[in-house]
Amino acid sequence: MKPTFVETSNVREFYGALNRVNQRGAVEACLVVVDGLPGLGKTTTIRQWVTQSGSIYLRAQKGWDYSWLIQEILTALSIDAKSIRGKRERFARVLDELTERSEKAQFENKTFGLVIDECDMISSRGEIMEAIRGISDLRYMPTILVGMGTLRDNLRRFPQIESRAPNKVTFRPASLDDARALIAGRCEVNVANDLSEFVWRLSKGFNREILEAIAHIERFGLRADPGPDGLTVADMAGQVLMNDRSTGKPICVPVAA
Amino acid sequence: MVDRHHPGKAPTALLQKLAGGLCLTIDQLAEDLDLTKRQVSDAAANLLRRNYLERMAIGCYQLTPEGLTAAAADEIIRSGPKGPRERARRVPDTFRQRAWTSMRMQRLFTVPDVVLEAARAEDADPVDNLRRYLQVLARTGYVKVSQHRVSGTAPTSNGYKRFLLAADTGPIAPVVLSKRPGIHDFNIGEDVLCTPL
Repeated sequence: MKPTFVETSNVREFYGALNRVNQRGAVEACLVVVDGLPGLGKTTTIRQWVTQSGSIYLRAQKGWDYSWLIQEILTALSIDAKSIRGKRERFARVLDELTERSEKAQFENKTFGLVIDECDMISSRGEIMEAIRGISDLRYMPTILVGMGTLRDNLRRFPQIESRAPNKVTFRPASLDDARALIAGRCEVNVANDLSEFVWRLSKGFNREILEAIAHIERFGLRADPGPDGLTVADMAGQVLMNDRSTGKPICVPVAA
Repeated sequence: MVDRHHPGKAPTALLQKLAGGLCLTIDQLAEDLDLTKRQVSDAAANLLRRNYLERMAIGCYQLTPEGLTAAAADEIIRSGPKGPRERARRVPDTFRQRAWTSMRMQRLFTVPDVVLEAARAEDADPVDNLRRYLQVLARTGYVKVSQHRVSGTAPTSNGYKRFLLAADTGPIAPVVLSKRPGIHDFNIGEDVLCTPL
């Protein structure tokens, strides 16, 4: 599989939300909420953005409290939390460091932000969410909260936070064009349109399943000799394409009667 | 008369003037070399940085033993670096920096996993670059190589090595040393050496 990052409509929507944050009118509206079902490419998109922008990435944990959050941010900023005594001093150091990095990124015309993945685990806890709001408010720094279904519902309990997050991105199942782009961008074998469509239909637009199908197509296609249009459904008849997400059973390409 | 506009002429002339081991004042030197006092002072500062000169009193200079040796060898002082760079240089936005950021997020990864997140269109050969980087990181103990590989799809593929980031020392990517086998870790401010290949 080619190690290429493919821009799907979900990725474009995410970058669009970041652009809207950069051009926002109300400076405090700097929160972005990203949600969607597992397997739609949220984490891959976010990680790719963090890697390219040099932003801070944190993965929320169940037992987080205020001190733990600050300690995690300090560690991510390469600062020894033990060397700073006192809550206030640690908080001040976090703000100083984030300001410095944010200004540097602005100077280079880049976006620097704080990403908190698996945010569902903490989104119902007022103390943590207020601390995140506090940090993002004081420096008006883009803060991206990533989660699944419950994140958006939980945020409704905190209107002061939800009002700062007008930019919400829901990762949706891939369209047929997205699936085709993903297959063309990642698969080392030329795939015909009918097989791409078949993969898209069976995967229900989930990137995880599409990638699984690409691996199976490559395994078969690199040993076969596909025609000029690429590997077709008929070529792959009887081959396993992916596993069913709900039953765990393998899904095979049907053999034509 | 000394060429006043050439960056190395005045320090070279001063070095030759003091070659006899005498201690001369700034006024005498300015008169003898046809330079202003400021130019003599700047030339002296240049020799001081090279440890060729010592100041016996305010405005009075004499050569050190190193300076006398340099004068005897007719050394010509030139502008530019005084020797090879001894510290590793940090370049902020390289492919390896992005790869390191990706490794810290993933912890357990293969080469394609990291290249997918870290590569840009302008990177010449990110796969080869990352392989060479991981080789050094593995030898210094920063990453561990799993005995089990992730299977590949090509007919003769040996699969992909799986790596584990064993030492996450901070956000700045370690830089491979060019003159010694090992890396310089900016996060801890130390060189971490390994056995040569």
